[in-house]
Amino acid sequence: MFSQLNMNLVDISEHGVIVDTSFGECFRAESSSQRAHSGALTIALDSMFGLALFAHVKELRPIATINLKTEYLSPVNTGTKLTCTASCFALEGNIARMKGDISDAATGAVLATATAAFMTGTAGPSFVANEGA
Amino acid sequence: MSECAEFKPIDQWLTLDVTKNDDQNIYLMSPTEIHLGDPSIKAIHGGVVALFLERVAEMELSASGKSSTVANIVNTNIDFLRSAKMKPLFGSAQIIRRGRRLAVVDVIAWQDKIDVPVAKATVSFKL
Repeated sequence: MFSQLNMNLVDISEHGVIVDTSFGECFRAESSSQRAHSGALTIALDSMFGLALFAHVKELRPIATINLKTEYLSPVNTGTKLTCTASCFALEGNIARMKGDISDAATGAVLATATAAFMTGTAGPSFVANEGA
Repeated sequence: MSECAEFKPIDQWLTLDVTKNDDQNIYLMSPTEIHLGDPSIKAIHGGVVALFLERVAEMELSASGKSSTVANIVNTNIDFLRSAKMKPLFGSAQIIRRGRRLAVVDVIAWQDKIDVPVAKATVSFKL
């Protein structure tokens, strides 16, 4: 999905991730304008949350989104350079709370914010090859 | 794609289509590898499910509209109930409230049975 969204990793640590992106033409909301559909922002944020959670727990374990709330503040055009940030602000047992936003890279204007709850250690094989072998 | 619905460019990426069942619109997406989220369990990306739910809400609101008022999404609340596998995803929506300036639409998505939903959402619009 990262390649679908033209996402480039800027920084990653246990404290959060920063990614640059811009949405391609396939995410246009209207034929008559360059405005990207708001759902593209949610796809980017959900992707970022997963990455940030892996970075926070420092292991590649199966995770699953429990819920996701996105606030759309301003429209964004396809091709506009964007900065996405995401971090885990609480981890209690296997429930992680995430927050993130997407800004116009040139102006810093926040275009969308989101919060989410994730579950770690869900069903599914580990991403680590030969683990347990 | 069905010709009567108002499809947008993003719907082609989403493989979105719509049919009718007893006067209710049933929306469908047929995921491909570009929609893959977790490859280990072959699940659709959560963000793609979210986008599908938003488009179902938009299209249902548009289909019920008496005018060509543009509806902009204010926010979306999504609950992921089960993993959505890489197979057809269905959706339906119910307009909870449509006022002069605001509208709220509830959406569910399912794969095998409508009473076993994989996700549900509430989408709020500014009209």
